[in-house]
Amino acid sequence: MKVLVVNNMAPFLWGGAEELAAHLQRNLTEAGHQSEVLRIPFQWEPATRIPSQMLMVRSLELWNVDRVIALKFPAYLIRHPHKTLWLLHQYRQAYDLLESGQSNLPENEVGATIRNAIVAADGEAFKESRRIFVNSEVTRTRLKKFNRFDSEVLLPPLNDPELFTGGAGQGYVFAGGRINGMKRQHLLVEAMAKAPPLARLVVAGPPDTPDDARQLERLVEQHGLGDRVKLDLRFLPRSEYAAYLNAANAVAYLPYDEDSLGYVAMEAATAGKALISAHDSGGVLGLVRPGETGWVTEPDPEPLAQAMASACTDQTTAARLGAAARELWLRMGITWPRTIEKLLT
Amino acid sequence: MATDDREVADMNLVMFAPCPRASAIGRMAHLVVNELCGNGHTVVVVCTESAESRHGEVRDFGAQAMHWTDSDEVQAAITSADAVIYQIGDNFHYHEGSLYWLERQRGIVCLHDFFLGNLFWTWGQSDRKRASAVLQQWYGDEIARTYFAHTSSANFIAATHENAPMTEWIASQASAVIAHSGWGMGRVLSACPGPVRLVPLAYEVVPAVGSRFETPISSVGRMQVLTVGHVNPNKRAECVIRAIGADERLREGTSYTLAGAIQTDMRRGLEELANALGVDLHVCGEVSDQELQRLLAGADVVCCLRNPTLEAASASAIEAMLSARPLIVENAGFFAELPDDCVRKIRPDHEEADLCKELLDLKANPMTRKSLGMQAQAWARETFTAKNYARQLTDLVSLSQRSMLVSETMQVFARQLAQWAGAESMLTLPDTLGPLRIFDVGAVQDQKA
Amino acid sequence: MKIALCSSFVPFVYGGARNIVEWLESTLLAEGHQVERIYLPHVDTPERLFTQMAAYRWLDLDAADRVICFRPPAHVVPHPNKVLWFIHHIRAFYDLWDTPYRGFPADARHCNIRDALHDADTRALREARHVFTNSAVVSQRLRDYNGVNSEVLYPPIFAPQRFHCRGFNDEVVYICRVEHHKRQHLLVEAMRYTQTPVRLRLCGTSSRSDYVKELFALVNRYGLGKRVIIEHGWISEEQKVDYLAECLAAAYLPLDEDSYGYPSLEASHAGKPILTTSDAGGVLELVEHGRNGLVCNPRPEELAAALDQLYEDRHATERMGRAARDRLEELDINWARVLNRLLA
Repeated sequence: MKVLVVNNMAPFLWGGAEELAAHLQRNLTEAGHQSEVLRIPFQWEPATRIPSQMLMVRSLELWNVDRVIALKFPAYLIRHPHKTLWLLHQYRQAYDLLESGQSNLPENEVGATIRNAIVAADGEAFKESRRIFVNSEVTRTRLKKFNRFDSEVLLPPLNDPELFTGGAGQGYVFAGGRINGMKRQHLLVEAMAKAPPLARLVVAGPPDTPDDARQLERLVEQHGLGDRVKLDLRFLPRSEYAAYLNAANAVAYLPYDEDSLGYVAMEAATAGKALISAHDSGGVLGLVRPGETGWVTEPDPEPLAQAMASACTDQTTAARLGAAARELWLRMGITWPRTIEKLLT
Repeated sequence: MATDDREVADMNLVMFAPCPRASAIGRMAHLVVNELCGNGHTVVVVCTESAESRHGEVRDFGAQAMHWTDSDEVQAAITSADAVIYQIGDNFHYHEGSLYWLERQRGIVCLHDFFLGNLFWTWGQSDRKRASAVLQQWYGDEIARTYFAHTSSANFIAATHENAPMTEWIASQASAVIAHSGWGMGRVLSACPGPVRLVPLAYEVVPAVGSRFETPISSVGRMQVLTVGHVNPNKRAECVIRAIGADERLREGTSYTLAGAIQTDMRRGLEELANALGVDLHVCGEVSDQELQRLLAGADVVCCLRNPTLEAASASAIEAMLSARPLIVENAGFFAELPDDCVRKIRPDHEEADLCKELLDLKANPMTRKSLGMQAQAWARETFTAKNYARQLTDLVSLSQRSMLVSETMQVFARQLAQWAGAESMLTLPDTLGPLRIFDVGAVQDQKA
Repeated sequence: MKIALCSSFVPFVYGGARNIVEWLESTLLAEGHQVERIYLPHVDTPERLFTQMAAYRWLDLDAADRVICFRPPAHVVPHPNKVLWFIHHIRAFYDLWDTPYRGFPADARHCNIRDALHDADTRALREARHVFTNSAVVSQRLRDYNGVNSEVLYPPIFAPQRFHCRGFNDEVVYICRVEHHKRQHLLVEAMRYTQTPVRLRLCGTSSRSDYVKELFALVNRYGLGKRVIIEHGWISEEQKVDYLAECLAAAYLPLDEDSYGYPSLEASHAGKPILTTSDAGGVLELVEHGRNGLVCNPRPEELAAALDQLYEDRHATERMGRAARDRLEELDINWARVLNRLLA
């Protein structure tokens, strides 16, 4: 089948959604289909440009396409008789961000008209779609709340699971992924100051800003943790990242209130590693069950220190929890073949 | 103006026009219909005169024709047409059918008069409330209040021809307008939603009839001065009589003929005045086409005065020019646009004095009369052609159809926005509308530069 | 610079129209620019022409320093620094209007659509900072229909250094899509009349199997099986380079094509002469008879004579092959020039 993946484009920017679309296309091709990604430029500032861009997408004519899989607003407004949505994003500024006062829609009649148009257009797009999938429970809840549409959660799989073979832990907790305030790697470093000497931590990943890197470096220095905390702050090639993860006792991932599971957690589970997270981390808690697949604590250095100590010193428990995490993850069946199968039903 | 050289596909057209033989507009429409058919288009004519006015001879357009009251037939013709054209002038009895159908079917209006007060006034009698609403929309409460209160025709024209000419009332209902002169264009442009063009009226070349065209102009005998058309005060017959009466040479050496319908009172008044002043006046009343040609052929000078200027273009003046007759006109409105070397112009506020001067000059100079007449004829032949009119008309049909294409496209967007919780107003946001300017269809005259 | 490359596309249809964009993208990236490639769909239905054009007008590419537009209606995308590398019009409304290829009636409505399209196109073309085309043919059309002047900027092929010459065997190759308007059948017919042992190899994919069947049938009917090879299917770049490196000459004889075509260019880089016909259109901007190839009338007998000539007069063939490379330099067909002009 000829499957067109339709996504937004913010010119000259490339992020998680673009990666996802590219992997979706690659996996569709591997599954024997023909696939391309249509990337539609979308600029939401100023908000008065939104209506014309909505009309733009709506006016595009597709030919020679059997199926459309659309990912975001306004890309999913595109017309096609067989359209499936895999919602990564609605235009949150018309919904929850409007409620919390963080919208770019002006507070006047024009803004209200645009808002209502977005809601109505979303409804129209949802109605004309054959199936609606969402990428997280949070997205599903929002969709139900604001637009009154049901949807099925379809979590995006890992793109390179074969790298995460696991193996014996070398006695450290690994914290991977982007480094910034929301991801809260600094809590882990602070926790190390309260942890016993055998506890060790490796933080590896690209800092969003130089300040994010400096904050961690200062904390390590401040608490004299130079011999117990390793900071490898850069964009890591996949093989190096996988090496760190595969040799860890446990993987810590404790962002503040995130929608999705988090690739770090999925990778950890694939590798059979126990997980450490916080009560307020959001989507990742779908994988972390305290006592079963890992530790969940208050987002404070002390309880975190305890969890990290256990992970580093109690190999047996760490291994057991890790195996259970892997089981749980496999049961979720979040693989590309299965994802594609669902998207194309 | 340059016309489009691209080929034009054969069109099905419906032409609304008055069919009585006496109608000058009908005569002009006939020329245009002939030209259109000659170019390969198919034309159906709908006669627009009131049923009551359908007496006397009816013109044969040489094409399929029907009366505007034959609703089913007219509707069928409209439905299968590429475009609908309305020839409209300031006379309800001739144009009632156009008013009726224009409301129901937008089309191209060929506007023969900028001042449409008479048309509107009569139309308004059957539904004053509606007429008042129209007046209010275009001219405000004050005019709406006083419009129907005038006691005489002269007062009415005086009061309304500048402030409430009703041009907008018709222009706003058209998909495009062809006007025949420029002076009243402002109101047309402001009201018409589609393209507007300035096109010289179509006239056929009047065959030379009679001796005075061919033989040398002699200075023997009285100089024949002629005025053609329905004799009303606006045509300034009285003024001509006074001008002739003011100079002995003119009194002795000039005859003045009035050829056109005239009311008894008016006739009596003018004849009395002429008697009193010693002016040789001949009042013919309404004349046949043939008689008119004979009179034109025998005229040394044609006085075509209008004060105030109400017509978009003057059929009488054009006919006189095509007949190589020296012409005296007022320097206002359509007449001011005539070339200075083709006609003699008098100042509207010095009518008698200027007229007297011009008549004396023309009487004394037969060669001037001849050259003025020839010059006027040459220019008129080139300008007032049915060929040009028909071509401009079909161009405008294409242009307004292209405007329609743009509207259709906009409507697709408007409908989609309407479905999005009534967001049609978003179409007018600068971010939405601005980029669409490349689709603009030319307004007055195609801008290809 | 942040450069946006903008073109229309049909999903899952690949080829020349995409190559020019993607090869330019690679070249620009290699020069250190940031490049974003924007492909938007388009269907040539008359009734949908203007809604789609409006869609392209609403594209916001302010994030780019410069926008380069290719296939219509991409040329209408608004940007203060817009450069066009104009490949072709929506031809049914232009040069194909008076041909059987129009595909819809020339009634009043379609005439109006045509006129409205011409006007809108002209306005959009005038917005551009520079207008380039891929051939003199297209430049002429822009002048004739839109009154717009343009500069011919010949599209190079990607990594031309891959093509080289290893020798001249006895095979003339025709490597391109196998379609009726590419006229492989003429060449096969020509093989009936050749007097020398010259051979023919046709390589390429086809969108229609009946034409390929027809070619096989011709080969069978005239017993040409030993001298004509038809390789129907996708040919790899490496394979193409090899065939061109070894062949006697390359043939390229499409019917009245807009531009010279990549096959002519590839052959030239490989230092081989090109066999073409007088009605091939843009190919004749590249090939001059006797200089870097042979141009004959599109008749099998004449093509046969040309094939024989290539076989027999090896010196001339090799000379023309060398001249083919020179011709490229003469016409300045290279990426450096392209970048220079597009980024001016």
